[in-house]
Amino acid sequence: MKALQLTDQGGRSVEISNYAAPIPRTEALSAQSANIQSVSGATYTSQGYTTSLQAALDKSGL
Amino acid sequence: MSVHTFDTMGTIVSVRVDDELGLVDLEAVRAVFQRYDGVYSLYDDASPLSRVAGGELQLADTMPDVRETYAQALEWRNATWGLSTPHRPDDVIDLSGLVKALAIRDAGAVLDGLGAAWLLTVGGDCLSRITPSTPTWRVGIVDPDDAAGLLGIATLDGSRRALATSGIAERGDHIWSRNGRSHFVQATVLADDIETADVLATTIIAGLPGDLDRVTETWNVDVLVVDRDGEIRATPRAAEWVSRPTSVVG
Repeated sequence: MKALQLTDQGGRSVEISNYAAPIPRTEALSAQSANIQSVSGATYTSQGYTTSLQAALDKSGL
Repeated sequence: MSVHTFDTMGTIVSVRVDDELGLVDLEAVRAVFQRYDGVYSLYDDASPLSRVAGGELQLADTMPDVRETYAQALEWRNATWGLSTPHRPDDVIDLSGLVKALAIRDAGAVLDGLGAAWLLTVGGDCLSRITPSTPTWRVGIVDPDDAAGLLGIATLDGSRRALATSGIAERGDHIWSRNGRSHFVQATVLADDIETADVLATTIIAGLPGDLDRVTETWNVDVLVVDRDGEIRATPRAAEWVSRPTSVVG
């Protein structure tokens, strides 16, 4: 892959091949229809888990 | 598929195995987390690290494992320009972030002994193993602005096994950051190992946009972040998690 040529704040040219670029949001994806086995998100507490998507997935046994 | 859950380290562990998981093996996984928690928990006054925090035990007098973990945490602090640090603002040594990752790593080693595919999820961080019969695991990335929605789906296909997300959505602004307030509200990192994924996700939340760029320049990782305005940024491979085809849903 060809590296992107970018300029940093000091006007210095930097080569970045794995740059995190802004991307548009796509329409919200429903967890129920997503065919997923797990969920990654900010760390939940034991209490927060009970209402989480992860709990719903675990209960369904998928 | 067998699915088991248990409570440890203040969160929930979910274990999926593409086979039966016997009680002995499940207990071996649970024991890994309990061993780490017993040593490093700051919620248990009797743990060695709590006693260090309380001043009744010198760090130099702790068992070698504790000092080794602390040394690892300092190496990560140096590698992440001070952003991922075991030193809380109140000077307490807090190794819980790294220790959770180490426990996931060791539990993964136990599960590898089964010879089946498995997916281990601990408080939103995932480590996986695939096999020819289960060639991928699909993991949804939570939308920090909509707890019932997903930003996208990461496919764990064995090339990078560990996915970690750090954020301020579930526990408030608990990560100390450069300017006192996080620029990014959620950061998801896919890496070869869970320590790298977990530490770098925390690093990005603690840092500024320039730190995100330094992370993606320095490590071979895929990253998806959301900022305070709800804007998404992603590295090329992580962008594919979001712009997914909708027609393959089963």
